[in-house]
Amino acid sequence: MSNIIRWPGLVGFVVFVGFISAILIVFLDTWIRLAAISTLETATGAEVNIESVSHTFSPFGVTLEDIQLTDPSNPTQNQVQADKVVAQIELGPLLLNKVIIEEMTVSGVAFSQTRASKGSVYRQPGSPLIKPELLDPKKLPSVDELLARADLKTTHAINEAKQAYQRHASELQTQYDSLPAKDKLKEYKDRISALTKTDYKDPVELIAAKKKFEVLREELIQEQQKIKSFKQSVSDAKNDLAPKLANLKAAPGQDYDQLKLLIAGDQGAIEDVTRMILGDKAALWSDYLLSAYKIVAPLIKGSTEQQTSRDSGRFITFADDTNLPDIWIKKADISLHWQQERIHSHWQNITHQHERIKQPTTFSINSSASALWQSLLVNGDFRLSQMGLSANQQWDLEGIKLSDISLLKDHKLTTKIDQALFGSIGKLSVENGTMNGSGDMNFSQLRMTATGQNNLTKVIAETLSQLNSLKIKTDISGSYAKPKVSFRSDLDKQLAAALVANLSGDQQTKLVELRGKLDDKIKAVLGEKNGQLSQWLDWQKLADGNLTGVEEMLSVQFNNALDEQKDKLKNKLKDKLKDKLFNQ
Amino acid sequence: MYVLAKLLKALHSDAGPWSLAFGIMFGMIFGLTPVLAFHNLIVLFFVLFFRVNLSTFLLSWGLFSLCALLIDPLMNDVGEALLIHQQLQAMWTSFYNTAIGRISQFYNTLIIGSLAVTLLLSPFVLFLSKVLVVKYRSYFMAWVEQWNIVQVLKGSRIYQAYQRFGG
Repeated sequence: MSNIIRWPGLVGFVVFVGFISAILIVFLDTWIRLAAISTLETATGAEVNIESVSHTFSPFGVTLEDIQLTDPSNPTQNQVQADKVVAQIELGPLLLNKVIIEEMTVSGVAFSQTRASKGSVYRQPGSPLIKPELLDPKKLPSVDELLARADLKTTHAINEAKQAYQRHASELQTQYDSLPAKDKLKEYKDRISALTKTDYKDPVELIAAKKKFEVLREELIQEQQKIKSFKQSVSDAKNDLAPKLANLKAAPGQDYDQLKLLIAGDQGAIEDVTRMILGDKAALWSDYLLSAYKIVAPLIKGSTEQQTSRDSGRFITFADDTNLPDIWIKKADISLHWQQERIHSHWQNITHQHERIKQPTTFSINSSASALWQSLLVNGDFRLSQMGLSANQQWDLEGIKLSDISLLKDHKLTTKIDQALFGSIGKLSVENGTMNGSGDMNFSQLRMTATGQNNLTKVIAETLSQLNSLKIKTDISGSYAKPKVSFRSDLDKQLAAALVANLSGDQQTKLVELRGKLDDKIKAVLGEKNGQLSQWLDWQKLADGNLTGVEEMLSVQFNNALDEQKDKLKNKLKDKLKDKLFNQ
Repeated sequence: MYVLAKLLKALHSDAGPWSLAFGIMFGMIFGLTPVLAFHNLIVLFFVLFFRVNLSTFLLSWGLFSLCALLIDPLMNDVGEALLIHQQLQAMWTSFYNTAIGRISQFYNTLIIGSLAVTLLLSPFVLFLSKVLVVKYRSYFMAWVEQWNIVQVLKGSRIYQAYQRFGG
């Protein structure tokens, strides 16, 4: 045996393996740090800094300190940063490339903090929030230009009225032409009269008359059907055309209300004034709503199949029987740092493979009153599947104190919230990746400062400065990757009214001209279509009269005449029979 | 030169022909499969723990590494065929779901392909190598000893140094 075993070789092997292990352990923190930085940079597309990493073996855990993720759209700021991340990782599943974290604590999370130095950006983010072209009064367009450029309700209403008329006109005309004319009705009457007034001497004549009655009756039933069908068609046509004519009548007024803003100032700016005034802050707030889902976005990206070049071979994936997700954070406590306060959130089952754990990811924030707010309540859950993201989220935030928040800084208009109490309540659901949600944002005890540099912005600034409360309705739609957030408030109307109230003489003249041209547009169509509708109504009246006549002929004269003749004939027959029986 | 000196010393030494043959065989496995794979740690254990001739192992590793550049695509195809073979799916799947399966990275086409090819060739290489060593020693060793080049090689500083340090 000693001939085939080389004991010094075993020592050499142990030394070799020990040396490799020692290198791995000594540089483990560095490798974890480099791996974490690389993974996060791939996910975010911008520089990631991690100050230090340490680990423990029993239980196996990793601590990352001072983590900063550069905001790719603003590299001087961090998208998010955290003071410390502590995670306890299960070692067994790690050998199967499964990162199962029993417990994770993230403390000192803060958003949009200024970086010590500008971060590198490796991948440009999607197009930034599009700001409306704003605040510059343009050269007033002529009324004709306005009418040609604008998407007028009047034009739509005219087209709809014409289409509605055309849908029914030819059919009604055809049906009307096929109705029994006066002569025809008279002929029916004459035939009935001839049949009923004849004195039938014998049963054969009566049977022949009866057959003629039946034929006549069939013809009258057909005429009755035609008239009824025509009446129904007229009724349908009337129901279709009448509301469209009403719309047509109202359309010039609606267009006028809309277009007068164009004469007063910049319609685009006024329509989206809520977003404009709130500026990027609105986008930021809406981003917070979606932050829960954005946390899992990098995980989703990371789940794509790994492919390597031909020379290194190809990694083929087999079915995973373990039923463990690739990444699963069973419990996480994330503490968000905002001004001098901390907001604690509790998470469970963070993963992107919910079908494997058969539970959704849940999160909640329930923060009691503090110096900066009265209450913060947020809870929700989400689940990723083959169909996409499904999620629910509700929030109820009360009495958040805002002060000195700069909203918009433009050389033509600056807006700032000096002081306000902010509250928001709403809900958001996502089904198969499509978002649907709404929320109310209320600013009370509002004090705003705004300054404008031209006529338009001065009016806006003055209106804003007078506000003491503001209610904004938010609608969220689109996909969770590209959410569409729209804002509505009565501020738009207030500003429009203020602008219209400050019109110049030239603008007033144009408004009068605009109203006149809009009214002219519908005059001819409205007159023509009203006339055609009146004609249909006349036809309907005529059909009513004819129907009554036909129904009378059907129900009264036929039956009565026949019965009378039958009775007469019966009496005659009885008389004859009596004569024969008793006179014999 | 160093490796050639080692080979000559091994062939002309008292080392058993099986020791030399195993060195060639393990060198082939090391050379044809990707070095940084788990199975090579086991190969290294065998090479160091058992009296496998290190000279033939190192020479064989170098030579077969050059061959690998040429036959890598072929072994890759073999690996792909094995991994996607319908009747082997159950076996691969259960192995994939073990820690050792993941560490071995068998699910890489080149690793499994080259390992399969080398394991298949191993018995043939082993016996052929043993036969060649025996034949060499019987028929060629005395003749080669007389070659001027061998004399020069034996007189070289490298060979002397190698002898001195007991290689």
